[in-house]
Order: sequence, then C-alpha cells, then structure tokens
Amino acid sequence: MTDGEGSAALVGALSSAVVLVIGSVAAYLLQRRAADQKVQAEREVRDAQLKRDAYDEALSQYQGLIARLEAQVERHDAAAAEARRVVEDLQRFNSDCREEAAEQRQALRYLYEQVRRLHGAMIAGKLDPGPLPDPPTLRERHTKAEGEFLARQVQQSTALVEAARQDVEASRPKPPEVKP
Amino acid sequence: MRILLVDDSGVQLEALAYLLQGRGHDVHTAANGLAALSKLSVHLPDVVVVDLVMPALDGRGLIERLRAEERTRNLPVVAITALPAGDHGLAVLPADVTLLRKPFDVAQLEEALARALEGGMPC
Repeated sequence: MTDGEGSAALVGALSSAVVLVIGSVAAYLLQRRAADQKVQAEREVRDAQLKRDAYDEALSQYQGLIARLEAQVERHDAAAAEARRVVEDLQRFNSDCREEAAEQRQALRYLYEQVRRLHGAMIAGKLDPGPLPDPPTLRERHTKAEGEFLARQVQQSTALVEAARQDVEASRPKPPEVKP
Repeated sequence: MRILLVDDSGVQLEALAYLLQGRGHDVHTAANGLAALSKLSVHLPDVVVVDLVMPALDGRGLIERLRAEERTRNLPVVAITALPAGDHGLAVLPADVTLLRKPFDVAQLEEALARALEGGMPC
C-alpha cells in the first residue's frame, strides 16, 4: 500500500466514524425528545385530573351550601307565614280587646252613675260624702298605647324577617365558572 | 360575642338569632324569663337581650332576678320592647340596662350591645 492509498483509507475510516457518531447523537437526541414529550404529556394529564378533582370538590361544596341556604329560605318563608298568622291573631286580639274595653266602659259608666246618685243622696241626707270623683278619662290613652304596642310588634317582626330573607339571598353563591 | 336572646315572639327570636349568627355572634335563645334563667344556670353569655313583655317571667322580672344574684349581677342587659315611650314599665328599669325600642334593625341592636358591654361591669 502506498502512502496515498493509506491516507485515503484513513480519511474513509474517519469519515465513517464521524457519520456513525453523528447518527448516534441524533438517535439519542430523538429518543430524549420523545421521552421528554411523554413526561410532559403525562404531567399535563395529571394536572388536568387534579384540576377536575378540585372543581368537582368545589362543585360538591357549592351544592351542599345551596341546599342548606334553600332550607334556610324555606324556614324563613315559614317564619314569614307565621308572622302573617301572628298579625291576624293580633288583629283578632285587638278586636276582642276593643269589645272587652267597650263592655268595661259601659260597666264603669253604670258604676259611676251609681256613685253619683249615692253622692247626691248623701248630700240630700245632710251627710258629707266628700268630693265626687272625676269620671274615668284614661280610656283613649290606654287604647292608643295598646294599638301602638301591637303596631310596633308587627313592624319588628316584618322588618326582621325581611332582613333575614335579604341575608339569605345575599349569601347565595354564584355558580362556578365552568371551563371546557 | 355570646348572646342570650329572650323573647316570646318565635318569629322575632328566630330572625334575630339568624341575623346575629350571620354577623359572627354565638347566639342562644329562650322563650321567656324562666327558660332564660335555666340557660343562665348552665352558661353565662357576654350579654343578655331581653324582651320586656313576656308570659311566665317577663323581662322586668328576669332583670330583677339577674340583679339579685351575685353571679349575674353585673351581666350587661339590653331590654327590647314595643311599649310606647313614657310607659310606666320603662321608667322602673335599672339605670344600667340599655333600652332599645321596637322596631329596630340589627345594626341598631349591635350598637346597643356595644353600649351595654361598655357600661357593664366584668362578671
């Protein structure tokens, strides 16, 4: 083998080695890239699952909260109905009281008339009966006080039930944003 | 704040309890003075809110019983009532009782609770 032939063979061998190394590196890089893509895909699947689980959990909590709030709304609707019944009862009670008061006033007038006659008879009999008591004058004031009491009770019940209803409505959560 | 609500009106009691609980208070309830005394024998609240006109033992009677006992003598009390201003029942209330006339809202009640706590002596 001449020197020229030996150099050509060496160059050929080196070229082959370089091609082999480049091919190996390229193959390694391709495998590495494929592995990275697989890991990335698995991570994305895992993250998506975690997000879905968190969303399901939040949704479950919201549904529980909504159920409890709806139960509260039902209770307060029942309370409002009771308030209306109380108002009706109070109105009946007020009516009964007025009738009772009218009877009492009548009895009082009769009694006062008897007192007045007795007073006159004692004077005619030369006895000192003392001053004739004033006729009762408290009726209107008492009636007004009772009416004001009942009105304030009704106003209080109505205002509190309405405030409770508004609180329930305000605390009702908005539905969560659903992502595709 | 631990609050004992005493009122014979079921509607007002339930609504007030709900509203106060929604504002972070620990609320217990009683329908009259006797039921309130029973609850107070177990737990002392920070303040008692009591309606004046009730069956069994009314608000004035309950306040008298509270002031008569060493354990509850200095318990802050807010008296709530629909009695008209100038009613005899309001005039005989102890000076350290905070009075709130109906109708009131929760904000006004919370102000009254704060006033009662400021004026009340530690138990």
